[in-house]
Amino acid sequence: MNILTDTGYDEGVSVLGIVDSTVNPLWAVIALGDTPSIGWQIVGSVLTALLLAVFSFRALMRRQPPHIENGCWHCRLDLPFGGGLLHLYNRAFVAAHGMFALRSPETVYFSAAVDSSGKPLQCGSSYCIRGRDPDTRWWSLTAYKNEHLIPNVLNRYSFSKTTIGRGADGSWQIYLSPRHQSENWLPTGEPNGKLTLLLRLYNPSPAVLSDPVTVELPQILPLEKAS
Amino acid sequence: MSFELLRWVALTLVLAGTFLLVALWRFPSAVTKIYVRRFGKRLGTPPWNQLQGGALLHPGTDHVVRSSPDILNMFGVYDVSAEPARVRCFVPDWDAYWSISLYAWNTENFYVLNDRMTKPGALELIIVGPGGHHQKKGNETVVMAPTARGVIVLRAVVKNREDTEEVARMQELVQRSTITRYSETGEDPSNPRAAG
Repeated sequence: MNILTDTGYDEGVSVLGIVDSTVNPLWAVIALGDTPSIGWQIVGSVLTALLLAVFSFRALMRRQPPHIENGCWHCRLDLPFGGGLLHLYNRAFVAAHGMFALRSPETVYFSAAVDSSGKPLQCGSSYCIRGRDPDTRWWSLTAYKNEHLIPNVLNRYSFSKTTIGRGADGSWQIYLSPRHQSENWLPTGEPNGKLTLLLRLYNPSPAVLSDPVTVELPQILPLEKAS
Repeated sequence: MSFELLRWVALTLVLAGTFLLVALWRFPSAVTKIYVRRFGKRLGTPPWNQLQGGALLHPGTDHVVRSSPDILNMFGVYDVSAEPARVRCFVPDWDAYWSISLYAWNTENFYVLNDRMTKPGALELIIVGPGGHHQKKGNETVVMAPTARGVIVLRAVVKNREDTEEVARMQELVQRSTITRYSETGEDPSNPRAAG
């Protein structure tokens, strides 16, 4: 039957035979109730599709697009991910998380949101970042809270190839902590917030570009385990 | 499951997929629009063919997520819908990463030039809109933009932000950069005093 009633939807035969035909049309659609009019079906479909699209978009923007993993570091080179839908996704993700980023031959970005044991970085905890100069023209390592620079008494937001204090063998350690550290201290400020690190390699060597998985990157160790 | 329900589910999934694709496609342009609008508000003038910045970022001034604290950024917006735009900038003659990047309205990075790809000193970049034409003159570098409006980001690394002398030197260099409509009379970029 397809008789349109003043309720706005069909007096159709219920699929399950148990749903009252006077219930809300949207609910009737979802609960396999009466067959609504084609108009209500379209309205229900569009609204449901919009909701699905919004949730899917939010979920996509929260998860990492295809990337390269090197220990606890993630890297998205812009070269190997091709075009089409993946390109759309990558572009939208970059717009959400790294607007106006440079291409890989200019700068390779390695980001970390977990320590070397896989635990999420926390602003209230202390870490030792231990490494050597990567194979690149210049590098810098920046700490962010909720994707923005962290206010601190030293006005220090990063260490770089130029500013890092090194040991005799060229290796270095950065102390990421809310509490004062005697050397190479990168403050993390107040304890709440999502902590992330970004290592930028400017004009990286061809070896870094061709095989970022095997590049030697710094380890991020909880301070109590680092000593 | 009835045919009507299957039809409804299929329609909903197709629509949801379409909406998602449109969202992915339009999102970067929408974000650009927001940045450009904010840029215009900060300037207090229409944002088109304007270039501003050149200060080190601090918490609160890092409007773009994950901004670099070691870079002097000049942010600008080009509009080549009526005629080409002329960007004048200066490449450092000391070893420090410097680059100029052009982004289409959809955030695609369609052009980048760094200090190792060109000579130190004055650089004149002409941005030409889609379907436009420009006869290259002198030392001009001509770039075809895929969209009539887009974003310019000029970056210069400051190796040590606590070194005030280095910061001032690089700041003086990047803040001399300008963007104008091509027909506007500009000063000679080879004259270091000209661009102020």
